[in-house]
Amino acid sequence: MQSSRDTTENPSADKLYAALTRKLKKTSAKITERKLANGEYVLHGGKVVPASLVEEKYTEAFAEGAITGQHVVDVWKNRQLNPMFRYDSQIIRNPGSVVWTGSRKTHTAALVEATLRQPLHVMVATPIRQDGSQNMPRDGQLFAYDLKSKQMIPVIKKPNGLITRARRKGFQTQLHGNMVLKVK
Amino acid sequence: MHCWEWHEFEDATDEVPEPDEMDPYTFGEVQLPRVHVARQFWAGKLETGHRYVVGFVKIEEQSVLDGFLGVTLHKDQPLTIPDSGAWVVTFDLADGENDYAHVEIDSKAKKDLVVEVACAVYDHYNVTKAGLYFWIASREELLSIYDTALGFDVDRATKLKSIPMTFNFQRLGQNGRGYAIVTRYY
Repeated sequence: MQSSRDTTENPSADKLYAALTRKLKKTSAKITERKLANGEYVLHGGKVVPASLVEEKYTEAFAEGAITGQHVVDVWKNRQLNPMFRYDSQIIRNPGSVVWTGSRKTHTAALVEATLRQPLHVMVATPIRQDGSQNMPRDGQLFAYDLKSKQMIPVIKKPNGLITRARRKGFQTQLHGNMVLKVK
Repeated sequence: MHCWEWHEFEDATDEVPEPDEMDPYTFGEVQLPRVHVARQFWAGKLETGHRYVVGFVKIEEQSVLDGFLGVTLHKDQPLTIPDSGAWVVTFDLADGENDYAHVEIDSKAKKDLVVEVACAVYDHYNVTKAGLYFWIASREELLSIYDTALGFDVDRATKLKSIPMTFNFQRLGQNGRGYAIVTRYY
């Protein structure tokens, strides 16, 4: 049963709340228009719904064999579905070969994944110089802390699987006060 | 200031405020753009669910806070607009479906609705570290839902994602429909 808002009490708060709600509706209309334009929303059953929900529905139905590839093609032709189903002229001739290339993830999970999928920029906190080399460490390069030299020494993996520390023979360098001690 | 898109909020702040003659707090005065962000979500199953939108509007005026909640004491002091920011929370159907009138929703949709609004508040707090959130219940039947969501219903436990270390207030204001969350950044 529909109920109307009680605006007889505290009119100022209700009036302001109504103003805020009007603003919210205007914003919502813009969001809806944008998401329909970029395909995040689609029309389904006369309602504007997230495309991911429709994809989930057809994914499950297709996986369960409830719908055929031809059905999927027809739906796609009617633009009721985002092009998560890969389809080309071959599939049109052979609807049974429709291949689902989309994700089974829910909308929320896909958003979380997209949010987390950012490039990680690994920065070395202190400059590491080995043997006076000016080469900067590569991303993913392993280092091990050497107690004797008190330096971070790159770990090199040899083709035969052995891992060694790339410490130059005959020399140890100390970075304290730019003093360089040569140990024979 | 904040990257709202990163946190799945739409920044709806008007660069040039649109005059609203029905709004007693801006009509005839110098209008400043109110920071306004919103998020849409779906509640319920595909066939029976609905789209909703939840919005956050930053409030600078003490009179607005008093109008919503009346004079509310927190640690023996009246609630005021904190430097960390005070936001009013609103939500409604996302479009003109059913002419914005109340729609009956099933239990799954109700659960989704509460969860999504709670998540939106939590995410907004993570972005802004605001000190105060407040709102009023637009209908009587929402009072029990808000009471439960804020932990006032001892008989019903909630597993909602909630802001830690808060002081929650219920049934505030002249009509007893005001709610507030005071965070540690108040």
